[in-house]
Amino acid sequence: MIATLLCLALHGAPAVTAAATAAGPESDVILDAMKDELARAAQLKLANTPAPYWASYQVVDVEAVLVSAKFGALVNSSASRSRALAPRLRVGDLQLDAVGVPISDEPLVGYEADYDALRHALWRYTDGAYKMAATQYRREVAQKAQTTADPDRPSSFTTAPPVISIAKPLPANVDRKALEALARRVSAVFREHDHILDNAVSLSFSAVERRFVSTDGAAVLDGSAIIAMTIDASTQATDGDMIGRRKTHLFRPGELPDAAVLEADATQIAKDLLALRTAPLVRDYSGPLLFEPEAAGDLFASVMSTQLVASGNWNGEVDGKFGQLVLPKGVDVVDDPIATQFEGKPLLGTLGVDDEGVQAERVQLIRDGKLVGLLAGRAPGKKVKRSNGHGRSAPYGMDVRPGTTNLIISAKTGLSAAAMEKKLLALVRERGAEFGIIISGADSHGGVTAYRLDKDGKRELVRVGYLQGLEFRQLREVVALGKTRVVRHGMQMGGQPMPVGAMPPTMAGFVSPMSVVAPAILLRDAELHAFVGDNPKPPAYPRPTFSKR
Amino acid sequence: MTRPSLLALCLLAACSPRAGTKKPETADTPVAAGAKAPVAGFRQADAPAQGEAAPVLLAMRAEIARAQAALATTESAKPYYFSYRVTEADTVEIVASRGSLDLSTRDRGRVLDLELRVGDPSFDNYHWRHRPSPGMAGTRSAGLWGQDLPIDDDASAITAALWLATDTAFKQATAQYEHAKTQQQLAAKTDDDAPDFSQEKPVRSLEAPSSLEIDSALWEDRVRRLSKAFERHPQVLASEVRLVASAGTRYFVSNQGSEIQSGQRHTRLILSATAKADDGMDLAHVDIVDVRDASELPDDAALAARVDALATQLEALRTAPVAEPFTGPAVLEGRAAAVYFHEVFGHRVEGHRQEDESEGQTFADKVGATVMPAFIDVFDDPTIGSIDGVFLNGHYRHDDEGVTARRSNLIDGGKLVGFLMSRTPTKGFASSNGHGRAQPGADVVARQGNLIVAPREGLTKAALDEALLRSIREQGKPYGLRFVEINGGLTNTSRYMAQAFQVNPVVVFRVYADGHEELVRGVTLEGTPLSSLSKIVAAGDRFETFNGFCGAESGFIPVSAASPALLLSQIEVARAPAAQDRPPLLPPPPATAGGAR
Repeated sequence: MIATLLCLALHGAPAVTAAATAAGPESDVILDAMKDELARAAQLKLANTPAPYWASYQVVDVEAVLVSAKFGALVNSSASRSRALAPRLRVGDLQLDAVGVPISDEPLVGYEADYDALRHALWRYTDGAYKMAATQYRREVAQKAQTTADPDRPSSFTTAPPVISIAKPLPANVDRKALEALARRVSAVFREHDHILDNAVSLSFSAVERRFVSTDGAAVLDGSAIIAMTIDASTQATDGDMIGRRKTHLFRPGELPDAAVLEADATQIAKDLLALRTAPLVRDYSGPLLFEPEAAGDLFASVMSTQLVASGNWNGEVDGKFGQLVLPKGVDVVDDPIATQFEGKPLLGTLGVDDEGVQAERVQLIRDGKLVGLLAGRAPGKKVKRSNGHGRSAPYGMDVRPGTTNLIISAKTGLSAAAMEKKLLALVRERGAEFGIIISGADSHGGVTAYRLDKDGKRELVRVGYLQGLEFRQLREVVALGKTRVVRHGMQMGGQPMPVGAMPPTMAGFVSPMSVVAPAILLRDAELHAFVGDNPKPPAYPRPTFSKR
Repeated sequence: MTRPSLLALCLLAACSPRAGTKKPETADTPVAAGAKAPVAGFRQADAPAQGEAAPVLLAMRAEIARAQAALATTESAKPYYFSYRVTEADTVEIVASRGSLDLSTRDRGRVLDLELRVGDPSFDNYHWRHRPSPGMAGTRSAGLWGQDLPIDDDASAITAALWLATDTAFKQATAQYEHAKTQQQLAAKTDDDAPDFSQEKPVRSLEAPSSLEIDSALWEDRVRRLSKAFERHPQVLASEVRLVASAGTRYFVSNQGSEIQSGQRHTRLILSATAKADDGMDLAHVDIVDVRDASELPDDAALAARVDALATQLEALRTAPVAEPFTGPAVLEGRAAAVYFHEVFGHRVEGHRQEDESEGQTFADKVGATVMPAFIDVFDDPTIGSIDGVFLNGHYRHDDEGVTARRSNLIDGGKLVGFLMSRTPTKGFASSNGHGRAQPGADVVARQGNLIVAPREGLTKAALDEALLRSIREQGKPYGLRFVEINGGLTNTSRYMAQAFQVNPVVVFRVYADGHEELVRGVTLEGTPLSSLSKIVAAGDRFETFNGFCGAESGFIPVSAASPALLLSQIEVARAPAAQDRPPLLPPPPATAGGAR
C-alpha cells in the first residue's frame, strides 16, 4: 500500500506541462464526455439573452475513507466514492457578465467511467447553469441602465492562456484496516489516563482526481491524496471548566508518521490536560503576545489567505494599503505553488494548475514589509488585473475565490527564541504589566496552549480563553519576528482556511491542503478573553475502570 | 431550545404504479354488489429465534446498575428512571443512475439514546414536554440522544461512553426538574391531572442479533443494470435506482428491569424519476419495494418492467391535461386510501397530541363520539408482519420505550375508542399500548405502526365503480375522480394553523359519467379531517398496503397503512403550484452504443 501511495503522491506533484500532454492514457472517457458536452454550451440561447461567451466544467472524483476510535475501540469506519460536477457558465462579456453555478437538487452523479451517464448529467446541470446566468445577466443589465457607471469598477472576468496538462494519477488505495488499527492504537493511550473524559482519534483519507475543461481550450487532469488526522481529548478542570486539546497532522499517504510518534502525541495531550486541570486561568488579557512558530503559522494562514485577495475584495481595505508598509521592514511574504519542500520538510499546498485552468504562479505578496501583490483568480481586482493561478472552487454553487497554496514568510533580521522572549519582557515592563503571554499552539478546535512569562522570566502553563479575532491591519502590531521557521499544514476550501479534519465526501474533492512557513512573531498589543458562564459540576460518579488489554 | 415541531410532516412513498391503465382490471370480481366484510390475509409476524445477551447488552446492564447505585447517594434530586437504547445498524446503500454507480457504501454504527427521569411518575422533568410551559419556555425536552458508541465489542470503551452520557443527562435532568417545579408554581390549575410517566411491566426478551448478508458487488451490478432501463425513456430527466439494505439489533435496558435485544432486517428498493411538462410543471414519480431480505426482491425482468411502467406513466403524465379545481365524488383506491387515513386520521390520534395545548386536539374530547360512518373500524397493530403476503414496514415487537407492541383499537363502528399511546399518559388513558417510537437519535413520542382501515362491509370493485358513477350522476357532476397513487403529504396538527391536511396524489384519473377515464396531472387533495372523514360512503373488499417512512417530531420511522378502496361522496382538489422554468433548451445528448466506452 505504501508503495502505491507513494507513486500517487509523486504523480500528484505539479504537472506544469503547458500545452503538452504528459504520459497518460490516449483518451480519457470522462474528459471526452466533458469536452463533447461543453461543445454544445454555445448553442444555449434564450430570447433576449446572448449565448454564454465562456463555459467550463470541473469534475472532481473522490475516494474517501474515514475511521475514528475512542479509548481503543472503533467508533466509525466508512469508505465511499463520489463525483461532484461544477459547471460554470458566463453570459455577457468580459466587462460585465453573470455567472451560472447551479446548485443541483440531485447531489449524486455517477462516478464511473461512463460517457453517456456523465454527458446526460452535464446536460442537465448546464441547462440549469445557463438559465441561472441568463436571469442574473438580464437583472444586471437592467440595473446598469439605471445607474451611473463606476469608472474604477473592475471588469467581470479576464482572459488567461489555456493550459493543457494531463497527468492521470495512479489508482489510489489505502489500507482501511491499517488506518482502523492505528486509530485504535493511538486512542487506547487515553485508557491509561483517568482524568480523560472523552476522546476521538480520526483519520480521513481522500484521493482526488480533478478534471477541468473550458471553452478557452484548457484541459486538465491531475490528482492528489492526503490523510488528515486529528487527536482530540477532553477533561474537566478542578474549577469545572471543560478543557479540550487537539493535535492535527496532515500528510501524504506514503508519509504516515510512525505509530509510536502518534502515541507520544496522545500521551502529551493527556499530560497537558492533566497540568491544565489545575493551571491558573487568565480570564481577560490585553498586552503583548508572542506567537511561537506553529501558532504564528495558523495566524498568518487565517489573516492573509482571506484578505490578500484581488478577486471578490469588496471592501477595498487591502487595495488602499497597496504599496504601503503592512509588516516590519525586512519581511517578505510569498505564495509559492511551485515549491515542494522547505528545509527537507514537504510542502502540501503545491499546485500546478488552478481550478480555472490557469497555470499557478509564485506571487510576491509582501516585499520588505510593503504590500506589493495579491492572490488572484480570473475575476480581477482594482490593483491586480490578471489571474496568477490561485482560483479555487467550492461546492454547493459557490463561485471561485483565490486561495493560498504554500505561504512563506521570511524576515531578514529574525531573532532567536531567547531574544524574542527578552523582547516580550521588555514590552511587558514598558506597559507596567506583571506578565506577558506566549501562545505555543493554536488549533482552532482544541483551545489555545499558552504560557505566562513573568517579569522575572518564570514560564508557567496557563489556561486562556480565545484570541480576539485578528484583522489584517493588526499585522502592523508585529514588532519582531523569529529566526527559526517551521512548516504548518492546513486545509482550505474555495480559498477559505478550514480546520484540519474529516470532510463529508461531497465536499472532500474541493478541500485541498495548504502549508505555511512561518517564524515566531511578537505582537505589541492583542487581546485574549475567556468565556463567561457557570461551569458544570465534576462528574457525579467516577469513570469506570478499564480492563487491562 | 426550540419547541418541538408543530407540524407533523409525512413523506411517504407508494408502490406499484400502474402505467397507462385506463381502467383497472375487474375480471375476477362478481358483478353483484355484496355487503360483506373485506377479506384480509393478516399474518402475525413469526416469533424470532431467541439468543444470548450480546456484549453490548452486558455492558449496558453493568453500567446502568453502577449508575443507579452511584446516583442513589447524590444530594440532589434522584433519578427514578433510566433507560439506555442502543441501535446498532449495518447498512448497505447502492445508488445508480443511467447505468453508472452514484454511491455504494456500507456503514456500521451504534447510536445511544438515553432517557433519565428525575422526580416521580406523577411529576418529573418531562412534565412540560407536551404542555405549554408557563413563564419561561425552554424545558420541553429532556434526555440525551444520538450519541455515537464504539462499534467494537470493547466493554470498557462502551461503558466509558455510557458513563459520560449518563452523567451529562443526569445534570441536565436535575436542572430541568428544578425548573419544572418552578414553572408549576406559575401554572394555572387545569383539569389535566394525567401523570408524566406510565407504569409498565418490565419486559425481558433476548432475540438473536441480526446480521446483514448481502453481496454488494452482485447488487452493484443489478442496480447499475436496472438504472440503465430509464435510458429507453428520453423524456425522463433525472432518474435513479436506490437499494438500502440494513440489518440491526436494538438493545434496550432500563433500571425497571427491562432487557430487550431485538433483531431487525429491512431492504428497500426505490425507483424514481423526474420529468418536466412543456408548460414547466415538474413531475416526479416513484416506485418502492419493501422486503425483509434483498433475496426476496423481484427478479431482474420484473424490476425492469417496473422501471418501464414508472417511466411510461411519467411520460403519460407529461402530456396529461392539468386538473381543474373540483368538488365532487371520488374513489380512493386502497393504497391512496391508506395514505389518506395515515395523514387525515392517524397523526391526530397520537396520544401525546391530546395532552399538548398547542395541538389542534381534533379528537381530544371525542372519545366515545361518532367521528366517521358506522361501518368503519380502524386499528393500529404493529404485530402484523404481512397482509396477503405483502411485507409490512411498520411491524415491530417492542417499541422504543421497551413496551411490547399491541393492537390499539382506534375506531369501533365509527366511534373513537382509543389513541396511539407511548408511556406519556393522557386523560383517560394511563398506559402505553406499545406505540412509543423514534428514529435513533430522537426523543420518543406516540406514532403509528401498521394502521389498518377495516370496514365492516365492502363492495366488489365493480359495485364500487358503479356506486361512483351513480354518485356522479346524482350530484350532476361532469366527472368524478379516481386516486390511484398518493406519494405523500403533510398534516398540520398544530392549533396555531388551520386544521387542514394536504396530500399529493400522483396518479389520478377523471372518471366520466359514461365510465371512460382520463389521466390528469397537478392534483392536490385538500380538506379538513372531520368533514372529510364523514364523507366516506362505501368501501371496497380487497386490502391494499402502503409502506413508507413517516417523519414527525421523533424523526423518520418505518410505517405501513392498509385499506380497501373508499368511496367519498365529496372531496376537494386544488391545482398544484406551477413551476416557471422551461424544459431543457437543448435535446439530451445522443446515447452511444453501450455508454461505458
